[in-house]
Amino acid sequence: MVQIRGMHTLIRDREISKHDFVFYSDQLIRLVVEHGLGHLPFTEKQVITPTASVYTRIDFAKSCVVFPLFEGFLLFIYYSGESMENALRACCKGLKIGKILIHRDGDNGKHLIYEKLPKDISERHVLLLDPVLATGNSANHAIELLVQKRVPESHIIFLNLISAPEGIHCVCKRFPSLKIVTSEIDVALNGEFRVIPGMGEFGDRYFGSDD
Amino acid sequence: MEPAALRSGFNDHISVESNGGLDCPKNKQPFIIGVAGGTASGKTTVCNQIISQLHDQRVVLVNQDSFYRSLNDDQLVNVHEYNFDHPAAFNTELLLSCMEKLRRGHPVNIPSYDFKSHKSIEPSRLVNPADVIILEGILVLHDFHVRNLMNMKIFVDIDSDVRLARRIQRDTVERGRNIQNVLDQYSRFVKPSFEEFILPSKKFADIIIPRGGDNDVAIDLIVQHILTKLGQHDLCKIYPNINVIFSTFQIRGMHTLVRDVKTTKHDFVFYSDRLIRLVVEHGLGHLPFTEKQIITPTGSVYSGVVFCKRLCGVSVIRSGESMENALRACCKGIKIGKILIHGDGKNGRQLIYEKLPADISSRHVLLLDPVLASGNSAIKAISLLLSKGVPETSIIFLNLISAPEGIHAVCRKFPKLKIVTSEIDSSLDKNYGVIPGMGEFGDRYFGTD
Repeated sequence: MVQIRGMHTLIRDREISKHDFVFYSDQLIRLVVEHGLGHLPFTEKQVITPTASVYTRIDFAKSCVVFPLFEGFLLFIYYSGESMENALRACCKGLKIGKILIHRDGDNGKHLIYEKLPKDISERHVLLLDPVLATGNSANHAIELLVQKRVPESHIIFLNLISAPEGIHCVCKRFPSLKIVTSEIDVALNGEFRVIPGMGEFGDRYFGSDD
Repeated sequence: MEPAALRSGFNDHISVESNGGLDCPKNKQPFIIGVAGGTASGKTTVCNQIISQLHDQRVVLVNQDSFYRSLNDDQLVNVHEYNFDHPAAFNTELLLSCMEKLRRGHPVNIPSYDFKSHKSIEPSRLVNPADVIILEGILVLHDFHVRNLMNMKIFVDIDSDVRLARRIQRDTVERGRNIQNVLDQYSRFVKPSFEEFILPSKKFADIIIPRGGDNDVAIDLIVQHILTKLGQHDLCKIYPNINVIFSTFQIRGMHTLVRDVKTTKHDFVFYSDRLIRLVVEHGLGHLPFTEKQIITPTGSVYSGVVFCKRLCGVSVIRSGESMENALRACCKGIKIGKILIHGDGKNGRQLIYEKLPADISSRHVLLLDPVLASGNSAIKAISLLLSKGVPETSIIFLNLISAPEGIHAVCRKFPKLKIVTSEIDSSLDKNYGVIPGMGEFGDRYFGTD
């Protein structure tokens, strides 16, 4: 959809104001989440409309959203309010939101330093939201954690705004039954493991922590 | 097309996977393709390639040759004087009635034509309805009524020398005929008929395929188009300007909630807002755009697009106002005009109030109305916009649900306007309410019932 390329053009632009960046990334996140929700399993029922006609009803499986928070991300998601969560809550009423913090220690050594997940997460379908999928190492950590919490791999939908081919290879090879929903696949990673053309550090730009 | 004797032992009346067909859903019309072209132009190859690429679909091939008229005794004696390439050689009335039945989803008996005796023989071939019907033959684009049945018209175009060379090859080597007879037949009937009837029908084609069956790109494009159309509502096959947003189960789930009579006002508002937002986002994607390159924070170049900035919304009071928030949430600071149209029943819709941006004629207009029922108020609203100087092509009409009657009414009158909707319903009831519909949208959204 061309509309999505229009939003990418705005949020990827290094000249965009913080306010516009947040506005348009929320809009894009919302579309990706809507799309991700479309992959949830469902059951059919029939309902009666006010015109007394029958319409076939769809009921969805229980779900929740998990943010993996990398480095400075956590701090700011609490400080600067919950605007990204609002984009989600606008799609799912009564949505449960879990959080994971993974600390980046060198290139590969990552460890989990914080997690807060719904108790019944193993019975839910999990939408794991990470705006930028780069190498896939952090993502694999987060997914591994969910799998340890007994979430079946096929119940995880991984949502990205931008994915690098390297990251997709890395995640899909390791977790073949998980689903990835993304709005664009970028060209490659550069020498510093950043996505090219990419959009820079999402968290810093979203929460204004690079000022 | 072929002089009768040549076809002996050669049966290309293939029926392809006309399995069952009884589960064909109601109201689902098949996609009908006509494939025409001169003799030996490669029509059959084109059809076979289309069929093999449409492997998941139920496809039926109907050959115009099956509808050759039986020759009487006099004609049989002078069979070499008979022009098999003339439109009169075919029983077009029977062809029409068979195609019409197939289009309505009924099974039909297609005659079997025997090329030795030049007569229709028993048993005829029973053809079940299918998703795609291909009608192939030299003159299928000749008759106006037959053409009118088709959703897609293809003409296979190949140089006459190549066709003659192929025909000589086929008739002498494969069918053991005398070359003098072949050439004689060609110059007396085949060539004149091609020039008089077949070639002129090329102008009716939607697609002209050069190089016939060797043209992989053309076949691929045709198959993609057919698959797209098959996945669409029947109305989208008629009016290319209707866009139904890609339906996921999530969207159907939201429809379930907003249509349910038991849904609370709060939930109704929540889920219709969510649906409206998707329709608005989708509608915005139909605005004109230009390419733009920007530099990302990593210093790389990203080739993106920017959308036309001169737009405005126009909501049809009162239901249309429910769509304003979503539009504002997507386009900051957008101007929104209002139109109030009132009146009951089919006629008597009156424009009561209008407040539109003064420079509306230079803007793209997103017309907001969640339910398109009979189309009467929509037509009033659109006519008003046109009278203000808004070009028809600059109007995008956004709906949550649309009734076929309303789509017919609006699209017939305004073929250049675009409609973006999330679902097309089955019909209207006698009070012009949409069935199954979702009741009086404004009352449910604003809680006035």
